[in-house]
Amino acid sequence: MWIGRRAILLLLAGLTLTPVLAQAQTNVQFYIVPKAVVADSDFPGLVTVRPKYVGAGDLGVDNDVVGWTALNFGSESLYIIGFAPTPAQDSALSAKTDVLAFPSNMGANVSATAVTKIQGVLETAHITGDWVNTGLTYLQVARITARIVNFRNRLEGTYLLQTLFAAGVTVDTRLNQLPAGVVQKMNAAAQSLGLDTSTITNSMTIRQAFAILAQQAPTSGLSIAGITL
Amino acid sequence: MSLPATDNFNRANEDPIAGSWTEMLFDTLVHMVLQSNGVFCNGTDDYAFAIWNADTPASDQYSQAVLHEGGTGGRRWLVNVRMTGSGGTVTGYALAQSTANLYLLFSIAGGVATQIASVSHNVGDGHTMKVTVVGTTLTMYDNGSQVSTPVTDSSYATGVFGLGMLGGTVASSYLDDWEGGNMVTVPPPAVSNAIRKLTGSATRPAPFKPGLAR
Repeated sequence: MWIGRRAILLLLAGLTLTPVLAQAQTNVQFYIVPKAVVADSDFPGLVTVRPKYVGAGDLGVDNDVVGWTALNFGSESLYIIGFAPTPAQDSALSAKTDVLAFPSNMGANVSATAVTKIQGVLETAHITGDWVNTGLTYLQVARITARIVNFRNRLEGTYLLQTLFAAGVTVDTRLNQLPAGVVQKMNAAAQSLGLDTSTITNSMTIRQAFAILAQQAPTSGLSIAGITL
Repeated sequence: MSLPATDNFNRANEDPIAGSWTEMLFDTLVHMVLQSNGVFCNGTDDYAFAIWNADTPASDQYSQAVLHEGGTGGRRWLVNVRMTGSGGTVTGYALAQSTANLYLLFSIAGGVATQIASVSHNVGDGHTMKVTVVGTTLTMYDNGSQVSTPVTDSSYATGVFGLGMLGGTVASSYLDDWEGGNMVTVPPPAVSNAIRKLTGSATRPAPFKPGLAR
């Protein structure tokens, strides 16, 4: 009887694993890339923003990135872009000094060199990066980053209608130094994503609040290019 | 009215489009126009959007329309979800099929369109393009088939559905047979007695979470 139960549970687990493994086999890789404002000859009346280096010819002849999805960093000038690169595309993108390329093995631990680079990029973008260390995998770094970005996008796109980091606000600003209305909107934005804010206090910094929110998965899920975060 | 909302545009010409539609003006000279039972944008160098005003959809919603392709020059056909505002304050999401044979997904904020996905896909005359949004997940479809992995964006929580276009004339490129509605939330399947007996739990086994065990 026990063997039968185990077999059925393994079968259930296998059914759940199948789509995840199928996604992993697509060889998707992540890159943190700057945004580029592009002149679109078709649409001069509209400003178009897209990831840098995905335009025709950006990575050289016959090396265009076609087919990608991205996590937009909202008011910050960054994306995490995901796609299945050719070796030539990966090589060309990885060589760009303003691109952070994640390895194909997202389960690998972040290298010491990469820790410094990732921290710098995320701090500049007001995501916070002090939590990045060599004990984390690249997938975990992408997940935590995406959760903070996800919260900021909801806060700034739906509630504040502007960046949180205006007029001298930094990630080390305490919540009690922000206007009460802003803190209320931070609370509402987090709760709209199903995040628990009960342990966040007004004496905490934004950095500390982000850390608490990033420990929680949003109810609607997060993915980039089919990779569940 | 009741959802899903539909419009086949089979009525007298409207310039700009009216009735159950409200324009979201980027440019006061550029309009969505109904002519000869189809809709298009009367500008060649700017977008025009119109949102459905006869219903208030749920935040999880979809918008779809049939695109018709003809003529020359750059054009884009759009279907929109979670749109709010007007002119420089317009926000929401737009799926665009372009004459460059790309499906493009945009997050719109005022006069800025930020691409969040791009998929190579040939323009199909008579094809139905559709975008859905559930929670923070946007999905693109062509003729009922998903054309890309879903895209996550949390910027806009609510709004209404609609359509839009750049350029086109009714004789060549236009949109027709629009539909907008709520996404139906499918409840999780009930746990069968067999699973309950086997696991001793009223819940299903926890799903595999990639990365956590690495």
